[in-house]
Amino acid sequence: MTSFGALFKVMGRQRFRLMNWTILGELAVITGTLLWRFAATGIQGGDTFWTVLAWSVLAFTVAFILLAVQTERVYTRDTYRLLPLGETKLYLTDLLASFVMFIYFGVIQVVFYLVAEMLDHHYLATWLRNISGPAYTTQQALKVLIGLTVMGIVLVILGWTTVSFVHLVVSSTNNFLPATRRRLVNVVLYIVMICLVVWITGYLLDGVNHVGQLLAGHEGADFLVNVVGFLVVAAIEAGLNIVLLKKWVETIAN
Amino acid sequence: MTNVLAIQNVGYKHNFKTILHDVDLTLATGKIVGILGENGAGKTTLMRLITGSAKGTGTIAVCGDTQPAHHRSHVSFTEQLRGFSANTRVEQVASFYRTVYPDFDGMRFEELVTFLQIDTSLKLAALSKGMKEKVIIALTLARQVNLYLLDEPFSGIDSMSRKRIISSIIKWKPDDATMVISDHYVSEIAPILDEIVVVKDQTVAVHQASDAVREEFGLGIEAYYESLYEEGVQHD
Repeated sequence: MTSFGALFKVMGRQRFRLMNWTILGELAVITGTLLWRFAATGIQGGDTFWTVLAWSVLAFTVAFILLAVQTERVYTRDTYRLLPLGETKLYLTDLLASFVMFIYFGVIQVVFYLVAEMLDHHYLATWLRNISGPAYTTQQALKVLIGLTVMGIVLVILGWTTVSFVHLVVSSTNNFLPATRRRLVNVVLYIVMICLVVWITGYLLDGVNHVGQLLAGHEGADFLVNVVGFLVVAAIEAGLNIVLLKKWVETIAN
Repeated sequence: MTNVLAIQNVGYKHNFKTILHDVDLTLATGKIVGILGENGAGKTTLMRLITGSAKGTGTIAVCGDTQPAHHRSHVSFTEQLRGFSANTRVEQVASFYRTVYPDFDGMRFEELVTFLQIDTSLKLAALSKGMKEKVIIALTLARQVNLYLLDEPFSGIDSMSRKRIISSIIKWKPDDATMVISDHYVSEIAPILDEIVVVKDQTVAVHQASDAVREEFGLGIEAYYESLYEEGVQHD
């Protein structure tokens, strides 16, 4: 049987390469933007930091999507589904490989932020002094930062389990329904799922917006309930995904 | 003689269409078995059911195991490498196989690569159809398993290479393993087949030893196979 270590190694290697290409692409556009700015108006204080931050948001989105595609590909390709191992191990290793590579990507982004912060330190210090908003102590600010990171990570996991759930449900129903009804069901399923995602995203964003208040206002328990709640939903989806893989999801035929 | 494969009452439907029904088939160890049938007869589906890539009804036991996850440790199937990007080099694919399949024999793979004249530094995108099939054959046969499932392994391969591969297949098959080959080049694979299985009318219509076909019907495998379809026409 294929060991967890062996599977993680091959899955991780591919995704590591993918993340490195994404980082290289990000670096290229950041450099391009800064060069363009330098040629046009000259680099002002804050330009580097905001450029890095703006492209980083896009790069995070791209990384999330690329990893989701890699994750989903595993479920319908014989290359992976023929491996001598159970669906539970396959699913969890697949998810973990994507997660670890996303964390790796996140760490690289933090390095970019730190470099940009060093270059724009004076500007940022002035900017932070001048912004208005809730007056957090350093400890509170740290808690908010950690809280946002944890929430972000949880949302990424929930995002992937949801994407997999939609994909595997559609893939399963495709086997049972006749071609015409299949298209109809797919359309209905996608609409239902998009509505669900929009609704859930709204709910989640509302939760994220309150992270600062919850943590800074010593309401850590409420925050924890939110995080655990999302993780429970992700776990339920993961369980359903494994059942779908075991019972119904087929690979793409030769 | 023990059985490597035991299929009982297996059926499969896709999009409300019956592809296979009431399939019963038992294969002994050490044989080379040809699966014959028209396009769309269900040969590939039968192989996919054995590996667990397709989900049907009934019972399939490989080496006594009925769990698909366990089947897969006994079965090597010619998969089309769809899990790899077109930029992946053959040597990287081999490295993947070496890592994830504990039964992958690296030495044997190297021998097969030499025999099939494969350039492992090439990317998958750069391979011709025939060369890709050769890579798939090498990867499939490099595993040390009980059951090899070769689904149209020679499509796209030039006739000279095809004949060379077919004639040496016995060399690559471990004595205690069974090899199932589905192919359209019936006359070319017929000499190496111990048994034939004909998939017709959505089920296994015939399972015979090749020698028995020759003795009983006085026909070659290809002529016998074609006669099954002619009979069908006459009955209509």
